Amino acid sequence: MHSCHDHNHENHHHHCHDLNGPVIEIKDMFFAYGDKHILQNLNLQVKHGENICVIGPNGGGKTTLLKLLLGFLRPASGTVKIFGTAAHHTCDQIGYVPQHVKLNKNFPITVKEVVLMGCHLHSIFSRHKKACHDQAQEAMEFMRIGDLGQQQFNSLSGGQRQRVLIARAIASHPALLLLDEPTANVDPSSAEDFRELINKLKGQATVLTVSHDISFITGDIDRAFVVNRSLQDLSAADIQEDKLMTYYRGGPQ
Amino acid sequence: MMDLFKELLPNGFLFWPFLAGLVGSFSFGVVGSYVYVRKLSYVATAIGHSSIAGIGITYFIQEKTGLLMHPFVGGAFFTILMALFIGFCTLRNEEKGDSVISSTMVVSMALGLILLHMAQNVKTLSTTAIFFGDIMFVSKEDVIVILWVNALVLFCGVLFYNKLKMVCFDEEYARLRGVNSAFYYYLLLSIISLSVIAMTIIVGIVLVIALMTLPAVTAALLSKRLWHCMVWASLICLLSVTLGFVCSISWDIPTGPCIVLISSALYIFVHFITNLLRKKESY
Repeated sequence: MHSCHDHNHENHHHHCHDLNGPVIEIKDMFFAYGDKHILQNLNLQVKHGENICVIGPNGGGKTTLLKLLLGFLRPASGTVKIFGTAAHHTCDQIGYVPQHVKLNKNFPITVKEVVLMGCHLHSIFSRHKKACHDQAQEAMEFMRIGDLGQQQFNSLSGGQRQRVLIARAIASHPALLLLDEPTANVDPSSAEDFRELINKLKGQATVLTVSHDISFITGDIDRAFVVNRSLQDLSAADIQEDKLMTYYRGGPQ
Repeated sequence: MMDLFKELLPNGFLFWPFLAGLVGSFSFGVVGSYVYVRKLSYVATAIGHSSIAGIGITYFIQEKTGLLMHPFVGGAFFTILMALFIGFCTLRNEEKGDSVISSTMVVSMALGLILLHMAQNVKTLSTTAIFFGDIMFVSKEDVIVILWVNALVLFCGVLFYNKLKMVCFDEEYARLRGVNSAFYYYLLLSIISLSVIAMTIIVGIVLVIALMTLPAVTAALLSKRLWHCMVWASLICLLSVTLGFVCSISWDIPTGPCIVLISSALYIFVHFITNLLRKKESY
């Protein structure tokens, strides 16, 4: 994997503007569905190469935060910037891993096809170039599913499906990787594997993981946050399971 | 008996409707597969029923202004408008989408029936023919219109294959990759409308969705990839139409229901066989 800058140069991507400033910058951000306040007064700055984990109880606003970062939702007030640009101006430097259970299980599609979706489509005919196939294969090998290319996506186990989705997200060498509950509905050995693989991306990509799985927060995480309406920074001392549990349950805030 | 089958060949009196059915099979294979993977069969049903309003409006305008318009051309135009409205409502409010779809369907049927009644003098299709299909109404002219409509549907369905596949598989991811998923959703609804209109005359509005989805569901059992599913669905649809015509002639029973029953029989058959093979494999 190469850095965002190299990649940017190579493929003439134009959406990302400032790759040297903070990767994620959230300032005084509020979000509400109607009169229901979901997120209040959020501030967050993530530097290049950081490995961040956001945990929080269900209904605390984790998914909303992710959708704001992806630009699918817009803040009521304040700003959400990715590489210095408002998040809703799609930035093709973002890799995103949704939860595999959200996808249609009956879709006839091969693993390779899913991973190829991670490559950029340029022409209107949207044929994939050879470079795309190479990138896809590389990503699949990184996720240890290199030989599953011709398998049907829906015939795989939960853990393998999640591997495919991570491969899709990293195929285009994104500078920012967002993961939504990567260990949910996944067997424990795969979950362990994911942590290891995501750590391997360190230095190449900024990684933000949203999870309700506290065990995801290990020594390899640079910073951790609890999101429950507002955002709470967890210092290194807090990154211990017993203390995390109190935060997780809505404890000292 | 053999004399009857000759009617399916050129110069036979069933040649044009049969040809229309065969041509329609290809767009049904393609569009039906999209409908299946995007879980749009309910929306497609609503669009199918809305086409009554589409055809009604066309005849009504013809009655009032004397403007000559082929019922399929006008029907397609107004049905697309209905489909876009349904699409707009479902995108705006997913939770209420369900009831919006039902009401649009019923209201447009009511409107269509009134307009059809008011256009007694000009209408060339009976209300029963629109509802249940009537192959006796199909002319060479209709087949030419159907041919064009299908060409357009296939063109869109094939040209935008990769993007439509992406939007159908994972809409969020497609959006992130800069694919305008709303546009492709509307495009999909439009080509559903077009292909429904083209097939309505053969099987009728009530049954048309069965013929669109059943072959695709069957094909999905046999396919690893979306385009395989489209090819299989087209072939299964083609087979259903052919057998449907043959049975309908042999036993002198309505063609539309015959085609639909055969496509469901094919589904049961394929489902049974694939299940059997899978069990054998696992032993």
